[in-house]
Amino acid sequence: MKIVLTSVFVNDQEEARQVYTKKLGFVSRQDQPMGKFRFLTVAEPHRPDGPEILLEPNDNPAARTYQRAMFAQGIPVASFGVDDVAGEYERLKDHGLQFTMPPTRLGPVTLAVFDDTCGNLIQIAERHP
Amino acid sequence: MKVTWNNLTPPTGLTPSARPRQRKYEFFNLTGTPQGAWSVTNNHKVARKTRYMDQIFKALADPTRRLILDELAERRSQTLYELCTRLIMKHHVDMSRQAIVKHLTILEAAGLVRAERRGRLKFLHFNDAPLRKITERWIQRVMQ
Repeated sequence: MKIVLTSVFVNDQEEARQVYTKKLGFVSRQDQPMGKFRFLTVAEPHRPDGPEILLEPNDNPAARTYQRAMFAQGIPVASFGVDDVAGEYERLKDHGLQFTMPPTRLGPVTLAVFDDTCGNLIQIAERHP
Repeated sequence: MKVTWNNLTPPTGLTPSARPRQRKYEFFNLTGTPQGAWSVTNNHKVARKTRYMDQIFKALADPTRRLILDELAERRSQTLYELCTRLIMKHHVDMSRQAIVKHLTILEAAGLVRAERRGRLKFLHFNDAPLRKITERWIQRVMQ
């Protein structure tokens, strides 16, 4: 079994695509119209067969309740791996993203959490050998 | 601002369980006023201070709560998520989020932790004022 697609709920799909490609550094992969929404995915730039993230509209009371509750409790909905958390922290801050947790070394990993401006908190993690 | 007994007040709006129990007699005079000088009118103020002091020591009388203070003292403004992650990953605390929230309620009641709401998020702060008051009461006086 392979991880091919996972999803993140977003307030606005187009806004989310801009943030995830221009600020976070992913690339657009699939973009198909689906009624008033789109089947919109982003992926890592250098892995053509890597997993994709579906930027899923939160146009559902259950999804919005979940998203708001997770945000209010400071819990990230996704965690992405990076080579250098401190460098990414500076880079994302320069893009205007706000961190709720600056880079913090916790045992074998360094973690940081930021607001993706699409309704979620996202964690970045660097694993130390 | 210098912390004195007059501006060191227990946080208001506590849940009933966090509120200290009413005591019939007070045994300690915390104001430095001679016992005989107590008047009936200011007695309840002394009683309140004593009960608050009890709360501080009760809050400190638990290893998990001391660990929470250790972590909160390391950096200001932490979300509950960060605190829980620190406790689990650094100290291997085997405890639910709800249990940690209960410990935080006791620390908040003692004024050792303050919660600040910023937008949709809540941040936790360590407040050292009650502890400074304790060192002033015993240690700094001995040194003088």
